[in-house]
Amino acid sequence: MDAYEEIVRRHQTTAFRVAYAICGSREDAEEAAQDGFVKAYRALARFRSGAPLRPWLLRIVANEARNRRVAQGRRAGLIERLQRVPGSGEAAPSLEPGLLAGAERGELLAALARLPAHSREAIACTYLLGLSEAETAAALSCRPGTVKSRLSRGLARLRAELERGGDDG
Amino acid sequence: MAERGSTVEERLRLLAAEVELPPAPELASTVRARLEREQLGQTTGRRPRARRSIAVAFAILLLGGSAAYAASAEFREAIRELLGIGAVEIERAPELPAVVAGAELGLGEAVTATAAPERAGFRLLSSTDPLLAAPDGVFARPLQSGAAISFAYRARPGLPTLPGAPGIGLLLTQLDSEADPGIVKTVLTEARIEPVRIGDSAGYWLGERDHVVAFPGTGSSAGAEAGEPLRAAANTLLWERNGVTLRVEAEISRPRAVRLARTLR
Repeated sequence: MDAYEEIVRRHQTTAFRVAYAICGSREDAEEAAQDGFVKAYRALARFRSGAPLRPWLLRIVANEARNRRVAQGRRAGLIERLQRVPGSGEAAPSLEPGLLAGAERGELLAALARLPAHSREAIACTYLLGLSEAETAAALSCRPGTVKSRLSRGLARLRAELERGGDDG
Repeated sequence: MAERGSTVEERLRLLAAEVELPPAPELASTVRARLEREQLGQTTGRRPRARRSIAVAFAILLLGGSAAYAASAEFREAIRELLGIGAVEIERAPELPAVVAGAELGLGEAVTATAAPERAGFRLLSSTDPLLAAPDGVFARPLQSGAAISFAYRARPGLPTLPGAPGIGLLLTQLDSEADPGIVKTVLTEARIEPVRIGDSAGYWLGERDHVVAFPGTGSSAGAEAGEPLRAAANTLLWERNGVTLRVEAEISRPRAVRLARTLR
C-alpha cells in the first residue's frame, strides 16, 4: 500500500487539475480525483502493459469528474470561470496581474469562450493546465491525434477571432 | 505587457502564467485510508470479489509476493514507472542474480575532486555534513553524456565496510537523471522497498541485504556477464533532487541516511 500511496502522491496535483478543469469546483474535483485513484487501484489488473501510467490514471480521474459534472448539472468550464468577476464565493481560479494587459486578457478569454467546446477544452488542458498531448487525450477521452487536430483548429480559429477583434494575434 | 504581434500561443502561455488554480489537496493518505478500509471489509460496494482479488494481487506484488505476479505483464509497466527514480531502474526478481566475487565496483576511473564537476556535466550537489565533507576517493564513470560521479568514504567506527567494497564505508553516487544508461538495481520480489520523503523529493530506502546493483555499460575483469558487474549492496537510499539522481549506500540506519540526504543541496 506504501507503493500505491506514492503513486497517488506523484500524480495527485495533475489529477486534481484535470478534475478541476472538468467539474468546476474544488470540492467536486477533490472527490473526483479521490474516487478516480481508488477505482484505478481496483482496476490495476486491467492496466495495459506498455502504456504509460499517468495518462491511464488521468483518464479514470477525468471520467469520474465528468460523471460528477453530469450528475450535478452542467457547470461552467475553466475558461468561463476565468472570465467571471472574482468573489462569487466558490473557490475559483484567479488571474494574477501578469504580462498581459487587462484588455488584451479580456479579448483573449472572450475569444477562447467563443471556440467550440472541444477545441476550447484541448487548449485549456494544453496551455492552461500544462498537460502533455497524451494526458490531454486521456482527460478528454479521445486519441492523441484528435487532440492535435482540435488544437490546430482551435488555434487557427482563435487567431481569426483575435484578428477580427482588431488585434494582431 | 505582451507585445502586439505576439502569437496566439505566446499569449496563451502568458495567460497560463497568470492563472492561479486552487492548490491540490493531499490525496495520497486519504486514498490509502479508503483502500485499507475496503480491504478490511468495512465498506460495501460492487464486485467485492474482483476488487479484493485485484487489491490483494497488487499488495502481494508490492509488499511481499509471488514470482508469478512479478512476471505478470499487466503490472510490469506500472511497477517500472513506480519504482524508477531518475536514472535508477529498480527491477524485482524472484531470485537475485549471482554476485560476482571480486567484481569491480563499476565506479569508473579515479579523478580529483576539482575535476569531478567538469566530468559530471551537471551541477554536483554538496553537503554540509562533516561525514561527507572530504571524500577519500572520487570516481567518474563515463556515460553517453557526462559521467556518474561517485564519492567514496573510508570505513571507520560506525561506518562498516560495504559488501564487496574493501575499505569503503560509504558511497555517494550522483548522476544526471536523464543519464542513459543509469543504474539498475535488482531487488527480491518479497523485499520491502520503503518510500521516503527527502524534503520535496520522493525516494526509496532499501534496507535489507536482498538487492544487488549493476552499472550497465561498464566492463568487469572478474568474469561478470559483459557490461554488467554485479555486487550485493548494503542499505541504500535513492532519491532525486534538481534533476540529479542520488544514491547513498552505507551500513547506516534509515533516519541517519535521510538526515545525510537532506544536507545535499
